Amino acid sequence: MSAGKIISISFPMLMQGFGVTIEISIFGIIIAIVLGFVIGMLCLSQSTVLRGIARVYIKIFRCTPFMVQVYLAYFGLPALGLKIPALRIGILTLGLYNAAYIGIILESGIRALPKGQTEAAQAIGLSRSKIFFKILFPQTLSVILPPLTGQFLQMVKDSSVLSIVTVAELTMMTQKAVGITFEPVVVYVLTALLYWGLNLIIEFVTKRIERKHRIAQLG
Amino acid sequence: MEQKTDTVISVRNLSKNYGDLEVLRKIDMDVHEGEVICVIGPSGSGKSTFLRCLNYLEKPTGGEIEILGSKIIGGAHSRAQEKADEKAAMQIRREVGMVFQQFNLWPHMTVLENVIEGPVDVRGVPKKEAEEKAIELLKKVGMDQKKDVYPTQLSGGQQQRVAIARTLAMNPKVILFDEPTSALDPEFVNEVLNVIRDLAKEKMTMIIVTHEMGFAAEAASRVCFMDGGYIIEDGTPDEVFKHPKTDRAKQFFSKILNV
Repeated sequence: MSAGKIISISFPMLMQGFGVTIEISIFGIIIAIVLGFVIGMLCLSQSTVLRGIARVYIKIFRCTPFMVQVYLAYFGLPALGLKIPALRIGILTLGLYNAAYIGIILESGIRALPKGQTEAAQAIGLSRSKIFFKILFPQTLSVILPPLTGQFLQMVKDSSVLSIVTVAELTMMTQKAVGITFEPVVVYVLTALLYWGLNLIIEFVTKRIERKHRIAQLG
Repeated sequence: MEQKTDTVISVRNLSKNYGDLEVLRKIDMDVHEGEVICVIGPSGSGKSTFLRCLNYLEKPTGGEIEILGSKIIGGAHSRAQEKADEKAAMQIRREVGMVFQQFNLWPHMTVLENVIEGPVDVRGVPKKEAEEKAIELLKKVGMDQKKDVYPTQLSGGQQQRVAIARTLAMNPKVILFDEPTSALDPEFVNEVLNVIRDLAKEKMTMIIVTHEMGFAAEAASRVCFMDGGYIIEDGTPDEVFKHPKTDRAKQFFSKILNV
């Protein structure tokens, strides 16, 4: 089979899967950010109960393999009588899994700030939420953006795991295309390029935010 | 002790422990309006801890602090009492400013933004009005030219002057200074002390923890000497520096003055 033929057969399939991968990535990242933010806040809470809840969450999601979680959700939720499409289960699991990591990144970022930053804000009478949103969070953002970016890139790559539960994302479509063309090397090179391209875009965007932030601080 | 009507801070039997370590023991102090009190003494004597108890950055483990009608009870064991203390602390912090050894300016905000943060977000002053007032205060400390600069671009002395302006922006009734010149290069010490001297002339009530004995002798209306968590000398600069009652203070002064 000629290279042109391989590509003309497999490319449309890959693009179809790529669309799903983008969808999974975007929604997964949004869920992970929102939930991760909540987990991070709980970790920083003064209440031992809330901190405990966050710790348990992190222990559960961080200390079991993502693939096992995906299988558990895929088979477990229907067993509980919940009929949710595989794609949604996949997005949700990806978001929940990575929220644990993002929570820890946020917590570490805030804790790494000098204590005097909080004290100066307390001394002036700022409320706890104002201290967090106006003093601490903006400062930690430039610190936590690199590890957050790493987490986002990891999420895009981890989305390929969802192929094991019938989600027709890029990796699953790649396998299908290989089944038709019998040219795994060419097809997988194409797939790798697509993942790579998507991650380069994410990296580019977060780098921009990071730089804008850093420049603002240096004046 | 006679009860004056203009008492702004009243401390009774204040103590603070970290586990077995007693940092403050049975501190009593009344601060009257317009007093400039310098707290001196060796490192580890509890000076900073004392200051930090006053605005509840440290939780006292015993005694009482009453500042402008708000009361903090030390050693609160119930959650309700702790809540009440926190509420009192929020009241106190609106009226009592603090200047730190390490300045603690917020690096992601410009000088001007640092100064207006309190008035805008705590007092609800309109931004425009807060900015005008801030520029006035920055002029006063000689930093108005640098209002759009970020703190990292300033020298220590400049940062500390901005920090003082930030504190003044809240219109405090009392200012607590926690070793305001200890982190500065020697050449910048005076520019900060001069700002504090000006405030003293304006009758600002201040408690200043410092190692600058010359400054304390000249600018303070009252000097407290702390050692081992106690205030062991409390009087006018003359009384404390020239005629200390305790051997510990005599020994301390002989060491630092005869080098």
